[in-house]
Amino acid sequence: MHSSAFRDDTNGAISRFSLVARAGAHPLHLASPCDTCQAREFSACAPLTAEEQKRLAAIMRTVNIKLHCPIFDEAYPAEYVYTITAGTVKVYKLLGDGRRQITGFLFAGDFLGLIHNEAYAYSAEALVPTRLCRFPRRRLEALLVEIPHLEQRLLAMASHELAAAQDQMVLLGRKSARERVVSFILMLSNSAMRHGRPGDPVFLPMSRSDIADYLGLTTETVSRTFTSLKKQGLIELLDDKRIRLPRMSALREIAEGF
Amino acid sequence: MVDTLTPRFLDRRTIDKAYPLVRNVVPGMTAARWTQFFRPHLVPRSPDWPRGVMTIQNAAGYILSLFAFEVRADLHESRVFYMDHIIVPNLPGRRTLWASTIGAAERLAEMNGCRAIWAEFRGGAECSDTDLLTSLERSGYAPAGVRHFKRLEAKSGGVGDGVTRPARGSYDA
Repeated sequence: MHSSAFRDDTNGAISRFSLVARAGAHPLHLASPCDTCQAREFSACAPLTAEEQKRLAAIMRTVNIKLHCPIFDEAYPAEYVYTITAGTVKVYKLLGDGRRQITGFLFAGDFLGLIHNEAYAYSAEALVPTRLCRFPRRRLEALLVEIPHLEQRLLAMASHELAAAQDQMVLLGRKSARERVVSFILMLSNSAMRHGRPGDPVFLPMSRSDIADYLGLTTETVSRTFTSLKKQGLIELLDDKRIRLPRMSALREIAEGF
Repeated sequence: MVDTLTPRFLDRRTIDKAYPLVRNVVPGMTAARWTQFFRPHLVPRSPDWPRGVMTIQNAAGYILSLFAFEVRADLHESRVFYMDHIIVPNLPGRRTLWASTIGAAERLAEMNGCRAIWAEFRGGAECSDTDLLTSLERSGYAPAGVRHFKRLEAKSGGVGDGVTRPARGSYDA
């Protein structure tokens, strides 16, 4: 399948994404793309010293993923791990009966590449045009041996897929569709603020179908719930997939089941 | 940012939250089967012979690793701490996670007056996890004893959840 698209050689066609730059090869005053990275403050790279940053950048490549293109497939050999520097990614698992279960949404600053048995534990797809830093897993692990304190720092950031899946379990534990949808909106709002973006209006780049899949609801139920929340003045649907939250405290009460 | 890793017991409230971690390491595991299997582990057999599930959580309360444990009587060592179903995901920086997991087990063993720890890894991915084995060896663990395994053909007792019930008269090791 598309595993060939991940090779470093560029002889083959790379349709899903384009390699942008090898960090160490940047010319002149721009030492690396890290210098202009907007996600740096919120990503694994944030606490690194200049020297550590340089060593990490030396094994890194920047890749651009096109809209709705896969980044990797579940069970494929996990050669790389990633940090999202721009965009939104959905991670999902295929169930035994062929259905797909979205287990989380990841954003700029999040780490991507949870591995099981040398293979990716999930599939990942770009929901919008997305930019990633790509690290060869083995070389990164070797670097962690050389810089032990980087290991702890990286671990703090590397659990985002697990965290997203655990958030989902909490959401699915809620009883009503309304509580799930509102909790989801607030979760995205909180996540945006943690990553240095405004929490209101909140950006929902995922489709109603993806939200339904994630929340264990039907697409119709999700759409009806959004319409209901809008009619009650709890949310305002803006253009470009943004939602304003004019009554935040009321939304929090709904999410808590009041 | 350096995350703080904290050991916490799994309880009925958090058992569902641990499921994504288990699903990641044990593909095909359903939430129902996970809950059904581990719920009894959350109740100790007696105050003197505790058992349970210990998790390692980060500062935000997300579960990053877990293991089941049980204090058992042992003819040679008196009280022994058994840990199994050890689940540590393959994350960059997981040696830190391993160290926390092993550290939590050892503290728990000491608190319960155990004289030794058995750490059990069954077949499959865990056995080929060299990072894991290296971490254990560095912490003073060594292969010991012999365990043989034979899968028996299921003749009856299956209830459709993928769990094979022990035949009547067998013992719980």
